[in-house]
Amino acid sequence: MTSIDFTNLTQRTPCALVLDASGSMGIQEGGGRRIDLLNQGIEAFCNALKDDQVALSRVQVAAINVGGPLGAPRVFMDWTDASEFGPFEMMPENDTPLGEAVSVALEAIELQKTTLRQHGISYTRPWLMVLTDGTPTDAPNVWNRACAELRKAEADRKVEVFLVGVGQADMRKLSELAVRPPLAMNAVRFREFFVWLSASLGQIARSVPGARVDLPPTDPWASVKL
Amino acid sequence: MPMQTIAVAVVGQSHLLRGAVCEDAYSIITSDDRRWTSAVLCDGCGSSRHAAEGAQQTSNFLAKALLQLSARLDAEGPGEWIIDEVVTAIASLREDMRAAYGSDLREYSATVVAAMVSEKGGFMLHVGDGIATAFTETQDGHLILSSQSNPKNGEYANETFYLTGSDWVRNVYITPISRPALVLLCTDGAQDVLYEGNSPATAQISTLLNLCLSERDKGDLALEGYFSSPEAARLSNDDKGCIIIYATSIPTKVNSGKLIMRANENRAKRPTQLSVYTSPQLKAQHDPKTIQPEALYDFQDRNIHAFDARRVGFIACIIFISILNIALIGWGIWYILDVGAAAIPSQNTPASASASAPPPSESISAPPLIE
Repeated sequence: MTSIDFTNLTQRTPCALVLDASGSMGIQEGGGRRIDLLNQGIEAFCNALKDDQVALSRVQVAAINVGGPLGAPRVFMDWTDASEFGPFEMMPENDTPLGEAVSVALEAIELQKTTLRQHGISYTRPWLMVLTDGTPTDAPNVWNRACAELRKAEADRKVEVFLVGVGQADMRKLSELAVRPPLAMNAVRFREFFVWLSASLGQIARSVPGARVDLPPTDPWASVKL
Repeated sequence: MPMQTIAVAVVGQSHLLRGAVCEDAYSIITSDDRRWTSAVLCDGCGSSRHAAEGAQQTSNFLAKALLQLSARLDAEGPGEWIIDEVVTAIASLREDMRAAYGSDLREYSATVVAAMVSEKGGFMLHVGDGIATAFTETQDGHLILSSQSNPKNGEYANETFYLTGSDWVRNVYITPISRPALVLLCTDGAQDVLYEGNSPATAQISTLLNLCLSERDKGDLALEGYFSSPEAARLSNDDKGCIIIYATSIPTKVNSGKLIMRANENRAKRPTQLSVYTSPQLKAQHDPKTIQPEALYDFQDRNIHAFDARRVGFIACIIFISILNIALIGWGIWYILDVGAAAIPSQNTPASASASAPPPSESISAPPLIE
């Protein structure tokens, strides 16, 4: 169920989160399970968005699970304005069908663009943020199709892709997904990562044509040329 | 009478804060006989390292290239050939830039808003954001929005197109202009000041014209002052580039505040011959406080349609009357030659009897009353 204020006609910055909730996210690391740190990071993300008035009115978030109790990947949190966005908790379970989750996310993004257009709301290029700690368990044909879809979407400027590998994530496999190389992240920095994400989305939401957007300093995303 | 121009490119607050120069640039050239004006306004892409240089080179090159079309415009008038010439000119510009700066032109990216005009007409050229609006002066002293080239930003709100992009040829737009009295060219920064979205902001444009046209030799200074004002900075912190091209016939004092484009209120009286004003809806729209550009388009369309319908109706009446006359004359001739001849035997009857005579056929078969 979407939670979008269609009377707010300001431009939007959609961000789809593909979040790994597979069994491996239950591993203890840095004083807690990875999934708990992820949940804390999401809460920090929510709070940071609410501290930025522009982001609050312009950023939209959707979340797609990779594994977890829900099983097959789906949009478990439909598009929601930052002003309506609240923290949610994920539980670790099942495999890591990352390719399938990416395909679901791409479909959700295109659907959301159509919805926004229908309501006369302009938007910036959507962000697709993928967080995973393992190796994809998709069938080869599913994985290859997902890689082709995402690379094409990236090339066609349909989406801005950011891949983040946590802990023992298979970075080589992850790098097959998109042109932009994945970033390896220490699991204990989930909170910092989501604060960075909030600040970055705020910058994008404020941007105008031709303007340089300097993202907060978290290499290698220090500056994204639009 | 040649068109006059006023132009400015002022640095925006956001650029000042990061120590950047103004990345809007313009170039204006007039033909030797001063009948044609080529005006090009460019907005360098903020994320390009040499945006200002790219904007200046693009505007200089295109202003010259567009002016070269004046002879052909005079000889042939506007047509599809303009598209070919413009695309060729842009390809030449890109080739020049590649020779000067190497194969990657993105660091010199700029948008383009341009006009090539004479008093009779011309065209607007547009790539990327910014806006261009042309106004025509009516006989009763109104400035009517006649054509507008809106920003071309593509799918995303924070992205636009540039001449340096690989898909540039798909993003070149040309809009014809007919008998312009005023043409406004604005980069996106100036658009934020003078327009509400893509609709010209009546009060702002009237104020600007009053400032710039009241003392025409100081128009550039007035324009610079306007776009450097705190109010303009409040509306946009971007660089602001603007070119005003105007016919010298438009009055120095533009009635401000309450009008959309009424050039001279003293001359502005309700016309009697235009059927457009007889429509209650348009009569209401004609109230300068409520009139909007969309209504102006409507006004123009209806004006043209009203005129066409009147002319077509008049011609149809003439043709109908002519056919009726020919039919009457033909019937008269037939009556005289055919029926009249058959009625000769009764010619000896008195005139009064002839006038009330029965139909010829009866006259022929009627037996003599007296043997």
